[in-house]
Amino acid sequence: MASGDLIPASAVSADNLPVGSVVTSSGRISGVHRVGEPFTDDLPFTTDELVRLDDALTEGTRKTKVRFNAYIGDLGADTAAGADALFPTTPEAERSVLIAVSPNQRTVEIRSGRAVANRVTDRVAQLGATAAVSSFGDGDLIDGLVSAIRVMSAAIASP
Amino acid sequence: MITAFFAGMSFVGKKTPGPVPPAFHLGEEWTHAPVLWSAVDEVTTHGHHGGHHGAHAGSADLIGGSASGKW
Repeated sequence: MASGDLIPASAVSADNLPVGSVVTSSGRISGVHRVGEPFTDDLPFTTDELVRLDDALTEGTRKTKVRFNAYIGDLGADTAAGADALFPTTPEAERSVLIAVSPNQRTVEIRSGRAVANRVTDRVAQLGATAAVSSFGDGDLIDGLVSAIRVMSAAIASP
Repeated sequence: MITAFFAGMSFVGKKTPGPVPPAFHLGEEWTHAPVLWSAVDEVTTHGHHGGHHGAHAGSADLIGGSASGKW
């Protein structure tokens, strides 16, 4: 099961939570939602899209034993430097692949960890970038991420 | 008649108890907070089970391969 929570729950102080919210014993934040209030934490994607991305991340990680991470957000004016700075903060970075999309810069950056560099080579990373860009050009953000994950995991599993 | 009333109301009424963010399409400006997905329940060869390895934060030495693309 993939998670969309970027900020670790431990980084949030219970004293600063809004009324009706609590940090559970597992570290998850549970809060009430009042009828009529906007769902500000929801992602601007459909459930089907999120399920497809979840499946691709799970299958890719399970098949290759390389952790796939997908990021969408602003990487700054220098997207390469932004991806380099982001990569070490991602889960199990040394044995992972990061597919980072910066929609405002219309750029996708892919990084792989040092421990899997012999399997996730620059060529494999470029395959993922090409697959993603192809779908992004058609306006399909989640499809592009799913394509990149599938192409890369296939190349890693059967080099 | 009662069934038809409630069936009709279910179509007329709001689907969610509050506004949800509109669907994002490429070409629009991304204004949402950054989001990172990871299959944290999957165990890799070395048995690392999710979690952040913050000890390596800021280390460019972690990067093996890289690629980029624009559309």
